[in-house]
Amino acid sequence: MTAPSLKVTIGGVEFKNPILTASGTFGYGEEFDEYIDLSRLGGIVTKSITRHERKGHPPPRTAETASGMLNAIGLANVGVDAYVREKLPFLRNLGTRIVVNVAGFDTDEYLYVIDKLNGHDEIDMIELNISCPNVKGAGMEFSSNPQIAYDIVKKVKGICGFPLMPKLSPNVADIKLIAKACEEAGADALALINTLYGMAIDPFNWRIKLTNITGGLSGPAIKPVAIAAVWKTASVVKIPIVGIGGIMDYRDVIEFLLAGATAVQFGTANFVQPDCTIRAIDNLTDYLGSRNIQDVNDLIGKAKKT
Amino acid sequence: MPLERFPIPGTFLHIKPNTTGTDPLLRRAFSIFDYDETTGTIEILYKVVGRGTEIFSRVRPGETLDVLGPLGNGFDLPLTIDNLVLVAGGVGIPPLYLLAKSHLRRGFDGKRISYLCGLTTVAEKPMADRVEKLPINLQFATDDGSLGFKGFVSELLRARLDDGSLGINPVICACGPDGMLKAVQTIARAYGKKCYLSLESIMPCGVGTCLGCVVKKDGEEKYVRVCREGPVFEATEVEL
Repeated sequence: MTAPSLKVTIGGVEFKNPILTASGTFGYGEEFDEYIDLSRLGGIVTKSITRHERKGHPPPRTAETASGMLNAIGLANVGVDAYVREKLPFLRNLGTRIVVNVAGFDTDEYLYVIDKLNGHDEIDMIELNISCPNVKGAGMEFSSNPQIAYDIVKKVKGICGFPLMPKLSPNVADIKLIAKACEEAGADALALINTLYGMAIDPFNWRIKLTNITGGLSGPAIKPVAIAAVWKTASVVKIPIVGIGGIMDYRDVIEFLLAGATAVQFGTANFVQPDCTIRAIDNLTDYLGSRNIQDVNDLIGKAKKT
Repeated sequence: MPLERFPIPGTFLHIKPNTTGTDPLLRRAFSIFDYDETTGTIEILYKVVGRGTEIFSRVRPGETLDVLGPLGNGFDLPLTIDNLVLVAGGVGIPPLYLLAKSHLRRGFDGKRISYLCGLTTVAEKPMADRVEKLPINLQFATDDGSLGFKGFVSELLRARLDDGSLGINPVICACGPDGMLKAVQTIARAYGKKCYLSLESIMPCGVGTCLGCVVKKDGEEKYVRVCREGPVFEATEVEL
């Protein structure tokens, strides 16, 4: 028997397997080079970049919660010019797909950053962060209203030289409406979900744990929310969905694929286990082999109702 | 798995406190306390302060732990310095014990090492058992005066700098609670002494990606990662 195929295609881009790393949890890729063979990954999504360098929020920036964590890093990043100059060269010829996450405070910023990235053929896809919950004015409102989401995606798509994948927020009444709007505006794929709004307070010293007051909740605690979001979204859009939210191992990957995702991103798990993605790729291969499933695409959207 | 080389003092291990399950989810950072060159065994000395360490304390001998490390930048001190002054407060004792041991092992004269050990009270003295066995100048400070100098260990440092008993050009290395580190930083600045601080921070990833453990750079609108650029910093580098 031949080895099962793990290849998936998203926005016309072929990924060697459906396992990517989530923005903000994998730096610019180089941080993990000493721990894992990056060429084995389906893809790397790099940390959100903005027009200018951002220092990020004052610490404490993270707090652990039940099976999860809150973060309010504040979109700390080197800025697009330094990104192109200092970070992109490492990502060239890594043997994996490079997805660049772009954030902004207004439409002009998104367009400015994308324009700077256009023409750099190391990049395979743009993930449009229209859902950061931690920075006031940064993106969040773009994914909370279908019309606003449509407008930003339409404008960015007009100048973007790469397939475009908006990343959606779960902090909305109906994610389906936002997803549909993005698809109609020309999005090539959708990534969901970003983190959930959260907050934690120390009961003994009464202090709010994050300087930013609220943060984004991630980790296994949010997985059921993400699975439901993928399932609902898959029922209304035709473009591929990349599932994100609390994925720790291959079983979670399978769950997301069954819910309708074409690929997934490992986020918080990278903090716990630097080689979580590689283990998941191996275990997913074994799982498919043991069940005589020749193609990983055969799992997509196959969840059965009980 | 045994560690092959004597670890650099001040580096840390990132350990999953629970062997299974996702709660707690993240690793906990522990400084390295001791290293046995014949077996390659590492020891850590920790205090139960929260849920993670409480769960960690239930690990039984023989169980396998998930350990990442040694990580970070430790104390990088040449043997050519004149005098080494170690200022430890409570849980800051372990890495400075390893630093003293490492310098002794490399032939640095124990008479030129002073270890100022700050405790709350004499009851905590067992934490310093191993330090006591080293052929160095060990002095205690306790908050209640039940052992050695009465007062904070930073005040003991000031007193010894004043009386000149720490020798010429002492290089100060400190590890302990934030307040203590801040006091040592202030004193080192006032006396114009070279000083290194080993910082503690909540470290989700420990390898430099999450950007959660940052500390402010002194005099700059910039943050540095405790896990990657640290945990040991020159006292002039960071704003506490």
